[in-house]
Amino acid sequence: MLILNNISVIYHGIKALNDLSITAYNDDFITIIGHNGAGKSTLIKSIEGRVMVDAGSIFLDNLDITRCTIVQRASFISTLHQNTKLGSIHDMTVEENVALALYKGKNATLDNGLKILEKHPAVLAHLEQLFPHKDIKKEKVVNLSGGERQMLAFLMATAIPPRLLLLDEPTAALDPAAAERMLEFITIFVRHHRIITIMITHDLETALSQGNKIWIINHGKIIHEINIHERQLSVEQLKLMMQ
Amino acid sequence: MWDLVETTLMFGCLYTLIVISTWITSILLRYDDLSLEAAFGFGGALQARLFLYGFSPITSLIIVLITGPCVGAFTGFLHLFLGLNNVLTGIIVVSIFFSINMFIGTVNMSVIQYKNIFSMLPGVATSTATLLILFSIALAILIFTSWLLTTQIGLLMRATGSNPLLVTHLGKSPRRYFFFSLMLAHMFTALAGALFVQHTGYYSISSNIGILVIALTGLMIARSLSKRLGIELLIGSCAYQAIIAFTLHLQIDPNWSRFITAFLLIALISLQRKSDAHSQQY
Repeated sequence: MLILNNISVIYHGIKALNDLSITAYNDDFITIIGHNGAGKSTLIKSIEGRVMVDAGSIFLDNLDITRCTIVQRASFISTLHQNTKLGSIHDMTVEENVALALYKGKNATLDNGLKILEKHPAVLAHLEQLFPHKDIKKEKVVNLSGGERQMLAFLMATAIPPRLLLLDEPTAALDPAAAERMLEFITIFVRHHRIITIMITHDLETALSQGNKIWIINHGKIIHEINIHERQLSVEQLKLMMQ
Repeated sequence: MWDLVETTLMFGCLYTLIVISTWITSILLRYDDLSLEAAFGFGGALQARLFLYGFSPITSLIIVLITGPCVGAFTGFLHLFLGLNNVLTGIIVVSIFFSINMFIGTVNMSVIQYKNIFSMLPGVATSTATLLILFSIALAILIFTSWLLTTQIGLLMRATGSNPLLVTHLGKSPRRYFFFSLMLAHMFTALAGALFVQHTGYYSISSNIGILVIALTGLMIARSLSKRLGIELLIGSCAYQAIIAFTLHLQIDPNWSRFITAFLLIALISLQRKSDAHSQQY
């Protein structure tokens, strides 16, 4: 369970997050929507640890992570960004990238960097599932398409399943077909591993079709929390609620 | 003629250590590190002083290997903890170590009378032994660095230079790997400084001036052969020394050697940029 207690973030005297309180329960898949500058990215960055909150507290599974650094939080939080270049190392091969993801939570040693892959056949199987038509392991990431890179970034973010997955517009740079495939994989994976997932999106259709809850954010506050299964909404109604 | 070839290869092998250091800083970390010059001078000054104190050539090299990374650590501290950019960090480190090197090794010091590692191979002519030893050291460091980069720590070093944000998402501190890589690069360069003093039998406070241009030119030649870390760095370093030797052979005034080097560097960088742009276009 993720609990945000009265968190505020102030940038140059302006409150990007304003005394925001909300709870995400286990198994929740939440989509965040809101206008530009509403505070969506700041909220994700505050939970991730890239931005430290100026007031309030953050609890994840009863653990106070408010003062934990981004490196400390990475043990139980994974993030996928919209920029497809941020989720992987472009001048390394796919298998080297996947191996890197498996070092999470472990001390790096002088062992061969790729040896760790042998201990995680499920991750390799997942890689083959994501890229069924070609042997991609030895391919350099720089040679992959944007969609393929984002798939790899998702695999890396979830190779060691996190407790909380943060998705900052993960499909923004993808074509519709790749975006649909990506969302399908995300949904199946997070349901299977029961990962709390929070995703920013500008696509209201996606917000209504993915997950079980929508948080509408405005002026640094959550102004509506909607349970999709309890309340059927149209895109137009959602637009009105964002005002 | 053979003497010229031998000298070229000797210095080529010696400067390979700095070419590897430059590869680590400029290519791996994407951090153009001017303070490598300070490490070269520091290694040389310390070596000269240790000779004076009666340390054996091997022991003094070990001491240089242990203390050399301090220059990298100081550079890392200024850049990562005080937030200075690479140019400012380089200028400050070089200035500080000018005084430290002056304190350790004075303006110049002749150490030709001391036994060095090149005179330790029995029954082998000194020049052949020097070439063999320098080649072995350069090769050993190349192999070591190549191996290191295939380990878990090595993959994280590579990731740190390319995408530090991803390294934090893996729960690792990119600062740690940046620091470690810098220290490694400075260790190799300090070792080169010490070997330079052992080889020439002379230490001078100005011996480190221009060393970065030599290393960069060697690196550019190597990268025109291949982008990876390998024997190309040794070839690049030797090729550069061959070009300089050739200009001397043509009896061009040695004072113009740096001018020629700088032009060679410009030409190589321009050619590489052109080739990169070409490959990007297609």
